[in-house]
Amino acid sequence: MEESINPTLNLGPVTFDLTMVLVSAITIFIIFLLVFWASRKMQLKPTGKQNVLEYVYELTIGFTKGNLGDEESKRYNLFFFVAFTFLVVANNLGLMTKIETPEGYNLWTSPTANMAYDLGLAAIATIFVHIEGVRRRGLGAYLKAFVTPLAMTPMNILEEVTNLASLGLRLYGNIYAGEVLVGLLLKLAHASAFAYPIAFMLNVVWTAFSVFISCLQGYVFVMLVSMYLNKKISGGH
Amino acid sequence: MITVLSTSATILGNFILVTASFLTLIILIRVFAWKNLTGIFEQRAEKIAGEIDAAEEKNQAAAALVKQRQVELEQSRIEGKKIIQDAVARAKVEKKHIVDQADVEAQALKDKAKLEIAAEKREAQEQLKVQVASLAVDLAGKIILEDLDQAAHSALIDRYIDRLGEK
Repeated sequence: MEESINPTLNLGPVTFDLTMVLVSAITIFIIFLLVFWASRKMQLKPTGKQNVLEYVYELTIGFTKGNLGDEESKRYNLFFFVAFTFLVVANNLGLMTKIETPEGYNLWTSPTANMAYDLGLAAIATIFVHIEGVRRRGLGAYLKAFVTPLAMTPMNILEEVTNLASLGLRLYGNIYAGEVLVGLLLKLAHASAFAYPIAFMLNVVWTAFSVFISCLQGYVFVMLVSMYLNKKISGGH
Repeated sequence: MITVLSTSATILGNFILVTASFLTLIILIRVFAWKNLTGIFEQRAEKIAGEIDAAEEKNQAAAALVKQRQVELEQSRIEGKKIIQDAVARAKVEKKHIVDQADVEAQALKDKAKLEIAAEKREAQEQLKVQVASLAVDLAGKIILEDLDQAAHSALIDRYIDRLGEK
């Protein structure tokens, strides 16, 4: 959460937020371990963990199929699979707990509860979409899409910026709001012994809702990026 | 305003961090898990396609076999009918042949029997004639040799004549 101070590390001109580094690493670690573990000894007749992995795979295919079609959806599914799992884990990570040092350093948060981080994710997705647009249709056709129709050129350019901003800010708003309310409920819990059970119950309810929102944001992100991608690779009709 | 400051100070750091994290995760999954995951779908699809093809082939083979059997059955039915018809026709011909032959043979036997009867009759008549003649000669000799009275003579002749009539 950005209300509190995070430990930082200066490497030359760049300042790294160490809490973010930690939770990002944990996110990657969790996803990779789960996927790696589930993808060992794959069988034609799936059982247990393989079923879950295949379900997630089919899930992201299902999210993007409506926009991209069967074939493209499979081709780009690595990106969407990683984006979806990354978002679901990262969004939910901050809801699990809250670790604060006595000096007020916050050591635990959702990495996606940070505006720069979310805009970074949105930027990765946007750059990926544009690169694919150029690669699949050629630079000429890619640039031509911006000026057709000619009168709409400013709007077309503006759209790319708003797409990026809305992708990042939507995610940031949802996840950050979830964490802010968890923080407030914690403050309520600290306020008095009588308020503790109420805060606890409210927190249970709010966490459940936030988990739902977090997964939904993963879906929305993947869904929107697949829509933008389809527009770029199929010529925007 | 510490938050804003700290946030703005780490913008670039976070940007680099998220890019690195995301790319690392993509690369890790691509290298270590993706082939396994997508491979299994392909394998399954192949297996299902193969099984469907095999089943279709078997179906076709079975259908062909059924058709062949039907044709064969039809053919053998026709053949059976033909065999029966042939047999019936042959039996008719044979029957006629046998009856004709029997007729001819019976006729021949009858003719032969008639001829034999006629010959025997003739032979018997011949024999009788010869016997009558010899008897007559014998009788005449006896009559001549024996001294007979008239009554005995005539009685003898009558008796002889009577006997002759019985024959």
